Amino acid sequence: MAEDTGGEAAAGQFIDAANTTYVQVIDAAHRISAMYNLVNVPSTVWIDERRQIVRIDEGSYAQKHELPGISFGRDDYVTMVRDWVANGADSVYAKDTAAKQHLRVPTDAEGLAEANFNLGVYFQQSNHREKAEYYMSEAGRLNPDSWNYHRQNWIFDGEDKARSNWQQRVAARAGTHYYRPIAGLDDLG
Amino acid sequence: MSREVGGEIWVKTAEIAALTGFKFKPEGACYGDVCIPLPPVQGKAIHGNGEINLNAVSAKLGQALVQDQDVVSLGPIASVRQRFAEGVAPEFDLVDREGQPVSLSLYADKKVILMTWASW
Repeated sequence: MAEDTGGEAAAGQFIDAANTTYVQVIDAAHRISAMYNLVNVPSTVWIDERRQIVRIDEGSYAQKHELPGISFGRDDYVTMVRDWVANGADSVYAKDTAAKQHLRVPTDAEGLAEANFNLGVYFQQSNHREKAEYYMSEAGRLNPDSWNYHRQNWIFDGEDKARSNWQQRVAARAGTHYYRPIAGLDDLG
Repeated sequence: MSREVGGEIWVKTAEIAALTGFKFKPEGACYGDVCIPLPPVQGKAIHGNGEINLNAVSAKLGQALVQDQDVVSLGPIASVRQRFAEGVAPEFDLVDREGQPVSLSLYADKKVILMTWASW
């Protein structure tokens, strides 16, 4: 699911290059992140055969990343997924109840942020850049945990400025998690 | 189509039903088998004659409303997200790059890895 308000023009080339065998969708309005309460990318939801959510909202990188002031991902995520595919509910990774703590209805502020972000998407797609930036900024202010809102908004600043925006925000949030904290995750595996 | 009366927005119920999945019945706003009563506010009906008062109904549903001139954006309805909070993966209806529908129900009885990424 490409969370890209720029749609095909923004995400299409990466899908072509990846040439994956699984389904690719461009989710220009970030509907999946909204419905599944996801705050960053890449983020993954494990859904079992009964449509029950097993794990959710964690940085699903293939390896651990260590950058100045921030680290995210883990080296064994693919192993975790494979273990769950093979063992289902018996997988140790399916028993981590802490990984489900983000299953909740949005707060009032998060709901208002979502409405603002959707308005920003509308104005971006109708070429009203100032309004798009305004409403996406409002979304980020109302839901500061959502890196999706901030990072999507920074596309208007260009790549170099977006990078420095990201670095500044990482520094400002030093000591916090890049994804929402999931208690107990490090105890697994 | 909408019209503004006294600073409040009235829209066709059929249009808002198509957008939100809610059906507007005499007993209120219904989503599946759950209905939320929509009694008059300060003596004034907030739906009827094929129209609803969007401000009043969204307030009743606990739904954020953001307006920029003639564009209105509505936030999520908490009761609609309740099943998600209970651990049930929400259904979605999107399309792939060829315009083919992609929904969770297409993968019934299978494990699904739903992964987001972005170019930014």
